[in-house]
Amino acid sequence: MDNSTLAVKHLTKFFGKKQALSNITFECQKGHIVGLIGANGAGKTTIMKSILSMIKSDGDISINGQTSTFDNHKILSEVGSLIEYPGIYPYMSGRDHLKIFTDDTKDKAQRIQDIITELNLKDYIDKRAKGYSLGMKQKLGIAMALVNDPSLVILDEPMNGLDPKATKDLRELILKKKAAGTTFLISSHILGELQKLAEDLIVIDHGKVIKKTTMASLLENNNHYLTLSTNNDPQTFDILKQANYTICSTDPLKIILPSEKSVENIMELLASNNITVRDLRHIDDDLEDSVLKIIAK
Amino acid sequence: MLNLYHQEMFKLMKKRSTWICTILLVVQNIAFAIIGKSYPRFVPRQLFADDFATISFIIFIMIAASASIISTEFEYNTIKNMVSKSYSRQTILFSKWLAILTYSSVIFFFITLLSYINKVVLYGTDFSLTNKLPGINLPTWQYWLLTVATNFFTMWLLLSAVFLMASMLKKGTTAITLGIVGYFAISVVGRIMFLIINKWDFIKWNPINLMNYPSQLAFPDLEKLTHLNNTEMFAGSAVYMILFMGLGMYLFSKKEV
Ligand SMILES: Nc1ncnc2c1ncn2[C@@H]1O[C@H](COP(=O)(O)OP(=O)(O)OP(=O)(O)O)[C@@H](O)[C@H]1O
Ligand SMILES: [Mg+2]
Repeated sequence: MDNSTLAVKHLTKFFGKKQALSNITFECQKGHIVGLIGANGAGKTTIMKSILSMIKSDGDISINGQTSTFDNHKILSEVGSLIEYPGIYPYMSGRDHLKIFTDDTKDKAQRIQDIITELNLKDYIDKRAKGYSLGMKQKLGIAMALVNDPSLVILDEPMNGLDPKATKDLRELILKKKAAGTTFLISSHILGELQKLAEDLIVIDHGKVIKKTTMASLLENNNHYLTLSTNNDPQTFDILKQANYTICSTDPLKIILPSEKSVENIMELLASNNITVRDLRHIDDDLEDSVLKIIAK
Repeated sequence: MLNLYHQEMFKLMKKRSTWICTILLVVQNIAFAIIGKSYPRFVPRQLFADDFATISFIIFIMIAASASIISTEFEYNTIKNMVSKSYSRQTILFSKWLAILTYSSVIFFFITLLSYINKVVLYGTDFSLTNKLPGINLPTWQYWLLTVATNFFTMWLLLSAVFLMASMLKKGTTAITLGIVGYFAISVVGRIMFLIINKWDFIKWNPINLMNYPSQLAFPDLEKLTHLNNTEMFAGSAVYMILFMGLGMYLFSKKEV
């Protein structure tokens, strides 16, 4: 058996006649954080629901080497999840929720206490969930997904409704669990956030996997830009054009940097033409730009 | 399995409505016992044998509890937490049945005990439990316990249908309404139904007719209208229960969330 915590093969799903997923195949390696990206309606939630046997679909799903199906999914005891929005009983307190969803082990109370501390829930954990705000419910849902220390965690838009502090707490918690060997499959529209977390990426469009890559190699292929402001922009434009630089815009003057070394070359070139550089900025494409490019193809 | 059953019981106990309904049943039971004492034309003995009319109220509450134990999971979106664990859908539904079975048994037992206490405290020697009720060929205590037991049994015929409807429909209120309508169906369509049964005998096997079981035990003459003896009543109800529960289980096990 290979080292994958989750292996999805040929996953296909129809809602009536409408095909939501077609032949989705991917793997999540143990201890990796895998980002699932795609436009609204691309099929991210549907993939996650299929893995969690919430919906019936065709294809093979195996978790820690064990097959899981809609009718037989014992292995899901090793999976924690939060799909779309959290399911919460309004008449119970947050602590009651954690109590009923935490496996009955010796350190049950300790694990509940730990997750309360880690996600900073203590102020309201003993109040009835009826009065919780969106973000409070979201944090409780995440706590329920993580409290059993599952080997695989599936989170659908986990940052939904979280404030910056809570987002940071969650990011740190995810990274901590990852370091301890937990595997994550996370979908998010907040690509900046995913960029800080995920190392592997799966891009979905119209129910198909259109790219499987790592964060590093995706960002590596990104363009780097330089914006310039000088005492004579039109003349700079001509000089750079003659030197065969690709110019993206003229106001402000923006060019593509072919390599890191070229900043030096440009400075020398401009100095020799008696042009004074007033401002100089280095800009990188981020994950968002890369993803938009992939989807636009 | 046991774990899920504990979860269901825990949730039931955490619901305020569980406790409010229980208190209301106690208040109703005592109030009717007092009224029966003050207005003897209510036939205290008959009233006592029906647990001071509390049985009907328990049935309403159990209809609501059965429908909502399923439908609230969908309303609160919590069904996702349950099915995305190792439990099969069958186990989930089964533990819900067990929870309602526990709840209804405890309430029936408790209210029957309370009725006995009311009888002793309020009525003392007004009537004896060993005497027979007019027109009924059983000692009062036997008739009383038989009424409670058959009502409990027939209630489960109704509840199995409510469970089935709750698995089919997403809205709990619809299942509750249909359950309560079903409970009153005998009194509404009873007459017409008996006429139809006279014409086409096989209609006697419809579940509404089977709900006459408790009344027929008290008034054996009813058999002339229902065309079913007590054993047939019992067996017919059991078959419907298994059918409804089985179908409900089948539908629930296919459910996507
Ligand atoms: N229960 C359903 N019945 C019918 N169609 C559905 C159902 N659930 C999802 N779909 C369809 O399947 C497709 C994928 O939906 P899905 O919810 O997986 O998208 P998503 O990638 O999670 O989108 P978002 O970013 O908006 O959450 C959509 O076209 C949607 O219309
Ligand atoms: Mg989604």
